[in-house]
Amino acid sequence: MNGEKRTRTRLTRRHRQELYGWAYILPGMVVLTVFCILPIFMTLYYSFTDYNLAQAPEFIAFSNYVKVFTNTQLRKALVNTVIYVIITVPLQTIVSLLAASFLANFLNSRYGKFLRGVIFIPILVSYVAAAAVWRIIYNSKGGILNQIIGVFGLDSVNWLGDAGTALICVAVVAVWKSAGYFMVIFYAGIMNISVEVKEAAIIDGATPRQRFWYITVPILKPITYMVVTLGVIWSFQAFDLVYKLTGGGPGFATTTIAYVIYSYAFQDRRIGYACAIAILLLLVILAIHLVEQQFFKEED
Amino acid sequence: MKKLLALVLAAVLLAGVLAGCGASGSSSGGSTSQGSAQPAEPTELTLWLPVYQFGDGPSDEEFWTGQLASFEEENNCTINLEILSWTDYVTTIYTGLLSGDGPDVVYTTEVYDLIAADLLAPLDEYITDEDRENYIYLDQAAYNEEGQMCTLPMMVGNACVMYFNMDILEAAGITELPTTWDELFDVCKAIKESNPDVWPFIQPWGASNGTSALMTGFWPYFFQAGGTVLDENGELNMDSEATLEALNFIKRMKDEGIFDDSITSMDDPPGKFVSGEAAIIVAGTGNASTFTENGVNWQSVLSMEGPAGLGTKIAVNSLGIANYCEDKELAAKLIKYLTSGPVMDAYHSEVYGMASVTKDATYEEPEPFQSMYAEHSDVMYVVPAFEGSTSFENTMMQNIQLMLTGSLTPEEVIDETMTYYNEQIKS
Repeated sequence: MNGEKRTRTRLTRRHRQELYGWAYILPGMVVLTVFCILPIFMTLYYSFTDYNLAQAPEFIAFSNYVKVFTNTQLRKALVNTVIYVIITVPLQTIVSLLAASFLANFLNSRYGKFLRGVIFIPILVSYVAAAAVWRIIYNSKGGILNQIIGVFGLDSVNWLGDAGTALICVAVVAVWKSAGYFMVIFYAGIMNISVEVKEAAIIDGATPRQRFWYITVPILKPITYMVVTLGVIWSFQAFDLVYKLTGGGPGFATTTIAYVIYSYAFQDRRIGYACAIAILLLLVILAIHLVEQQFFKEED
Repeated sequence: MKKLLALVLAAVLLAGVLAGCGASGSSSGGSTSQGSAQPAEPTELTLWLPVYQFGDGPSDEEFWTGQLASFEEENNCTINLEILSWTDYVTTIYTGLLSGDGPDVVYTTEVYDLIAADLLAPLDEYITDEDRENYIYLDQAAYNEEGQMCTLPMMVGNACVMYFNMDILEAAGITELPTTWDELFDVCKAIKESNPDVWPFIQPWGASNGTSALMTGFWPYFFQAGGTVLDENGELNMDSEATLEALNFIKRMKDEGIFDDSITSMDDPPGKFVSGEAAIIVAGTGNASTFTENGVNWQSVLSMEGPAGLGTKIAVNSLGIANYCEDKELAAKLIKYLTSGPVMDAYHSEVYGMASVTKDATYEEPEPFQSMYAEHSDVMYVVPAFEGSTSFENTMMQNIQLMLTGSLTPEEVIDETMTYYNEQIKS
């Protein structure tokens, strides 16, 4: 009798614990489902319709996807986006890693803290404000950058109005904006490296460069993986800076996939078509992420 | 106890989330019309208007609430007024109208899709012969395929006129304003020679969207070249000689050094004009007060004389009635009241000055614009609603940018734009 009671009590407690578990995660799950998972399925659904805000969506099968593959603007946007990713991701990863390493190893003082704060500030600035400031810096007539290169006797450059420089200029702002964030992540990783490992390397006669390459970089690999993953995702979603700095121009020189999606969805109100592009973008990012995951796994 | 507390907190949070979701769904219905979900009260209408008060006068809400009081009393009805910001205005009215839970009477700027989707009610039966005589711009209203009028013009004006900074022109020895395209080129060259640091003439080819760029950068020259946006069948008619003439005009500005390379990043011509960095621009008549307030010594003309004569773009925004509105007669009465002479006179004086839309209105735009509207309304053209107009304008702008950077010829701009329009935009 007692044993039976004990079993019942134990089961009840387990159930109660399960209930607590569900109760704890339920709010988060609801938020996640409503604001993240559901929109993905809605986007998928709309991508097979001709939804344009003015009339109820009508199923048109793969028409949007067929159009996507013959869209020359989109092809240009895809090329621009890939170039943008190739410029920004390695650059922001390397810059933030070097900055974090320098601050952790050589400037771990109050000056270092101040510098860390300064490098982190851009992440606190909104994209709109950042773009407004950088438009002044890049201004072709009297802009700060042209004044600087003018000191060296160089001619003014039409930074944002020239197809050859516009995308690079946008990428530079993106790196400036996000490097501080990644630097803090790297910095935290470096500070977590065991002092014993560092001391052992010093005793073994490793130079600072060797310590960086053979201790810091390998230990930071999981963090680097995260930084690269986030960098790729963010860069594929590049929109705000493009919108405020160049509006996708000149011509199609800085038109990115995310900008095209915005333009089709909210300027042209071709919601169904924009959703088809968004789904393809999602697939591209997933594919890159899988390749990246494989790469880091093999490296390990 | 701690677990219990945590459970209660989690439940409260969940309830909050669910309540929040519920509230967002119901608020649009509650704050707009009681239209489709529940049959609207016959004497209750929802009216959506955008913000136009950008100065120190009474707010739009104050103004309209005051004006609507007498209408409500006279017609024993309640008008639920909502003043919307311009941010996502078009998206807001589209979603409102499509949901059936939006406005009964709405101010519209882009109507093609609304009419194509049959969201706006035809107004013909409510417009009397007397009204037809009184309303000046009925030709500029939006019509459906059956030729029924679906909107009534409310705000007409902001014609794109050419402004000259007379201090810069006089410093360049120019005493007479140009009147033709060729004379404009001569004046620009003289300004450039006299003051190389000043833009003789600028256009917004670094704008963030095609509608803004083409408004002052392309359409005026297109109309001066005799262009018509749609042909007699209502099809887009941009593969034309007039388009080519207008593009050649823009290209010539670049080729002759009047525009420098940075024209493709130029997004604020009025700002350059105000700061004295530009001598000539095309801008809406609404910009004049800003120029005056900033001490610019300006003069203006309606347009240059192009190959086909004078011509410029004018804006026409209108009021429409939602098809789901249950008391269309009252709604029609409301839009006629809103656009009536006395109401619009007060609106133009207190909130936002524009050309009068009815003959019984007495408001006059400041000179020289009043004379322009009075004498040249026949050469002020509207860009009519057509399928995918925004996409078309964006594509056109981007291809013109490519022309200005030397990547496309004017013929290729037309070809690329029309190919894209026919293959990707037009259904």
